[in-house]
Amino acid sequence: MARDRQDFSTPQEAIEGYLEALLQDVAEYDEADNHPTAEAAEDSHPADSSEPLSSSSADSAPDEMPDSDAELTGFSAEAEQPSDPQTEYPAAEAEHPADDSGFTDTADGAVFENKESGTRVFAPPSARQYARDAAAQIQQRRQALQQAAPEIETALQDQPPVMMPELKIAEPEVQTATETLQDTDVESQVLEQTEILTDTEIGIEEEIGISEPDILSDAELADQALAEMTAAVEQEIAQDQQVAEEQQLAVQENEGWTDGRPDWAQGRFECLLFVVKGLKLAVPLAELGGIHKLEKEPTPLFGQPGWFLGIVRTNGMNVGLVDTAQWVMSEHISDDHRPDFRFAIRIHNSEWGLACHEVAEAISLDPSEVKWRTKLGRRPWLAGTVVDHMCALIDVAAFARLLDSDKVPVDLQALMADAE
Amino acid sequence: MANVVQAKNAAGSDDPILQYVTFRLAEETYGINVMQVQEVLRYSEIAPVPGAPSYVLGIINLRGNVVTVIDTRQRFGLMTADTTDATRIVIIEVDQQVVGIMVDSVSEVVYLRQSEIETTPNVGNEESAKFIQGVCNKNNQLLILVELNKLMSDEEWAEVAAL
Repeated sequence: MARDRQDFSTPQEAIEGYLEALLQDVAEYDEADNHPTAEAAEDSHPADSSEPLSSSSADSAPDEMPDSDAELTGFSAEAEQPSDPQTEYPAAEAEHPADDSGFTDTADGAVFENKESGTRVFAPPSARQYARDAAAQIQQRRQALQQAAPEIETALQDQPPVMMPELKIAEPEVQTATETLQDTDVESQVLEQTEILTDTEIGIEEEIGISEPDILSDAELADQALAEMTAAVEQEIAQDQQVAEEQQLAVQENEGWTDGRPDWAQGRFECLLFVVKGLKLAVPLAELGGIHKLEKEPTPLFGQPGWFLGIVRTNGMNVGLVDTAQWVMSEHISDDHRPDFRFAIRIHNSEWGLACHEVAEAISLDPSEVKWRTKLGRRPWLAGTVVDHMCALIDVAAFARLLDSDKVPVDLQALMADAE
Repeated sequence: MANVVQAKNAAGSDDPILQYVTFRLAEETYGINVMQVQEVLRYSEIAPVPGAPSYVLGIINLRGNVVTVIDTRQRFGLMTADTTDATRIVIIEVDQQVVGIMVDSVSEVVYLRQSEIETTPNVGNEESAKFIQGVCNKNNQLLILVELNKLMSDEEWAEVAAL
């Protein structure tokens, strides 16, 4: 036999050794088949040979080597031969009882054990083919193991110092995480877990000494993400500012104004004075749509801001009534403000009306008598002030544009407070 | 009545005549499309539903069917008021769901031409502002037409259906 039993350190090696021996025996037996003479058989299988011979194809052995059967120290009869091996080979049984020669019958086949070499040969049915297949598989496994062995060794050389510190460090941190989970504060939990992760990473860094680039890369990534977010926010702010400036510029275009005054004020113009909560206001007659007496309460619409009093039906049209007091003196409007207006001054070519308490006289003004506004400010509806009459001149067209726009404020008091 | 409507529709196909059920709420007159009104009920006891949205008054038993009653005043952002003998529950069908809206009183059914409906200035940013379909001057008073399809959002309809 090629290998001794004592050399086998693992069952796998034992099996491999057994199969090698089996193959060797089969090869020798095949050589014997190629020279089926009695002499050759005697030469290859001397009577005192300690080499056991196992055959899976016993169909030729008993016929061609009848003399050598008795001399063989072992023989396994396979199931393909239904006849009893004891009756087939009585000499072998007589000269080699089971206890002495190591030849024993089993349910699957016959096993012969060579006591000198310490090897056992198991010869099941179709053992030759089985042995060849097994040998081929063993060969493949060996090759695979030889190929895989360097990688495993390399991996084992690299991994142990990495894996073990992680487990040792993680244990106390897991306890911290468990305690944190008992808290209801989610933020503290997240912070704790973040600290845990950070501690673990630092621990790995200390133990391994090669994770520093990873930690730094994470920090760099975080910095990059933060920088990107900051840039995005700054960009959004810049865009918002640009949009606001564009809107402001659009409003500041002073549509209908020429040379710092309205088109209707390029020469002498007429104005109608009216009173809202004691404050005298003036509207140019050029942009006056009509004066309507409020004989009944306006119809309120739900979901509208407080300065929108409702709709009044007058002269066959619906006019949205604006609480003028809330617009021109929102800072003086209290909670007990009652919109008991008596007149509505309708803006020309508009469905908006300015509610007022009294309608006064019409006056003629020279443009030089008016202190025109220089910028829109928080009162874009104000065209200027007339010192001689102690009144404010309303830019009715700008007022109407503001009301029709989507940017009309809902809470005027809050608007004024913010502006201040 | 259907013949009258058909005749009026035939008279001016480009300007169809619409029917609106008018009701009073907080001293104002509102109109809803008659095609969405199933019936008008006298006020009966409304069983409150725990955990229901604030705009839900409760449920009523309508011939074996459970109908959710909406607090129209709360929905429109109006002040609450006590119920009276004139209080009615208008059963409406919107998006294949049947609900009731409680109103101060139900007035009449009016005929309106499509051209008579005027848009309203929309300067409010509240949700209820979109409920208004338009206004119409009828019988020397202003009628506020309500868009029932916008009375509640899809999520709110789902909430009501789950009650």
